Amino acid sequence: MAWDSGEVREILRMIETEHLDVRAVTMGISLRDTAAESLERTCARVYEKLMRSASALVSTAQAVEADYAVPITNKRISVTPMALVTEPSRATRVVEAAVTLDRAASELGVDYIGGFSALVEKAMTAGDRALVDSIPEALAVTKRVCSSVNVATTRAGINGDAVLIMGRVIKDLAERTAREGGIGCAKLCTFANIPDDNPFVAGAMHGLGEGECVINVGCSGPGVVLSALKRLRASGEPMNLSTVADTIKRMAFKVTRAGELIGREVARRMNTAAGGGSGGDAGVRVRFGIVDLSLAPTPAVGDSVAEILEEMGLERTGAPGTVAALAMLTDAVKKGGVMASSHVGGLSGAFIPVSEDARMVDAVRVGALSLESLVAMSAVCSVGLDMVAVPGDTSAETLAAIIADEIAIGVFNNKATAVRIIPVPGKAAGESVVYGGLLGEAIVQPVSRFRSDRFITLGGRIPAPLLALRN
Amino acid sequence: MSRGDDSADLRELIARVSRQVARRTGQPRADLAAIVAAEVTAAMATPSGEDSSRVSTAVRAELCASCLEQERRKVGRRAVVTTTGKNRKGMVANIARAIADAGGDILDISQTLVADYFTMIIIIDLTGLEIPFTELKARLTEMVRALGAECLVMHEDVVTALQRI
Repeated sequence: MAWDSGEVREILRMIETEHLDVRAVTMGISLRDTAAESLERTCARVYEKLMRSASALVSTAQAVEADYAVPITNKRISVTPMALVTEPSRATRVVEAAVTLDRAASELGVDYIGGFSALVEKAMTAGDRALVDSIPEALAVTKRVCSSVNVATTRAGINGDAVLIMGRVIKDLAERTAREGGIGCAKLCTFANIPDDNPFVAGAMHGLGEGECVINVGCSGPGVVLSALKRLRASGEPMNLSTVADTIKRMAFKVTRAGELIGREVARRMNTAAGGGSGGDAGVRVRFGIVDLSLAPTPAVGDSVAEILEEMGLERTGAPGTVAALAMLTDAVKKGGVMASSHVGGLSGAFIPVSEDARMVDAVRVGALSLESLVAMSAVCSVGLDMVAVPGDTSAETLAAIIADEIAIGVFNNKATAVRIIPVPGKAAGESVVYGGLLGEAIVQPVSRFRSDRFITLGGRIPAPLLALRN
Repeated sequence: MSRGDDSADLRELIARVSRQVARRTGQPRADLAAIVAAEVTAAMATPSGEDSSRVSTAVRAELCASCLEQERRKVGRRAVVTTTGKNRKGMVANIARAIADAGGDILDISQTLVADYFTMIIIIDLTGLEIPFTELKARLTEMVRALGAECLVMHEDVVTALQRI
């Protein structure tokens, strides 16, 4: 095949200066067969299965990374929602299960393990309650475990009791990790319409309809889109909304293709390893699952979703027009990405995790981006209120009401939404807290001083919307 | 019997057996097709007389080579090396030597020269590579930079995935 030197050059530029990487190679592992009559026995089986299934994950991902010279930033594992696994033990505290996941993750060398989760969109079973009650301690004593609780679906409506409980869980978790700015809350997502195959933490879990083992991939690439838009502006070609959308689409295609290539190769090699008996789980086929198209920013300069919006012509993210620009960006990313991959899944949109996007933090600092504008933006992008810091004295009820708003957007628009909010202990609006690494820095954002306690403590369920009645 | 048809069939058979063996053992070896070709032609030659076994030795050598080539294309571990810069004596020789020293095999070279500036694209087979790909990439990039030009090395799969639909 004939290549043009410009084509090779473009890819090198994407990787070396525009931060193109595969954000996450996430191995989904079913733990349904590890449930036992005692928690101790369950944990032993969980540990054994994880070590057996994923022993080759990190080394395989590293080998693929070296062979293709495309960086893979994180290697992760997602598991069956643990509430289902620990429930048969009838334990009322299941912190030990999180500790087991953490130990396996650490020994396997993966960055995160997601799936300390419960699906409670209608109501909670005893096992769900045990898990949810264990979240604050579990996330405080572990490093790599991520937790998610699905409190609503479009089909089932919103579990108002669970929303209130989550407000309290978040508050408790923040207090337990107060010395590190409430960092525990960065590992907990409250979800509506949680996807089964999301490779991104903290919401990653291995859904009930999934097979034994699957490799899901999350791309990155805001930097690639940003540079393309800058080049479009510099090129002197006509720049209007259509050409902007088209440019984003083209770049999203390329970013997704990189993810698809890497994901398929990791799955293929893990199968080969399994077949040859060299470290893999013999007899279990590792399938390639999906590519998540999401544009995931990092705190690095030039790798920011907010910067894309600003390149599109907004003075600051949060200025009027932000929702329209973000809607167009998300849609163009999907259109470009969907053709590049055989199976698209997960969250697939654009992420707006405030602390993880340096430019978004700036927008908060100068007062351009409020909690309310973030909620509005979440109606047209992939997650929701993500990595948002609020004052430490925000009440559990107010946290629950913020969650309820965000969850309602998901349920009534038939999309996934999630809340990852951190009431930073001891901090007031305007103060900053540094988490470091991919989590970045957050500015504590003010919360409405008006209360919603009476509404949020009504209890019960918000009925499913008409949208649910599609048969 | 028509030898042309026969050898096409044989080649296909050998290629299929090689693929199966590679899949089961999980270790695609460069010489696998050659071994399988030898085994298959030997097995097929057994019932015949001396005369045909002499023929099949010739067939065997040709088959080995073509099967190897076929398998190599399927494995597809190839890299694209793009060099651009001002022309300098010995540039091509230096690059070729560095590739050969690393165990790479040059499959194709194309070069365009405009005034004194050239762009050269080399496709390398990585099957026999004796060093990690990243190491080859570093070596080539560094060496060409020392000669005052620019060298970009990329796995061909990546270029194909991103640049072709």
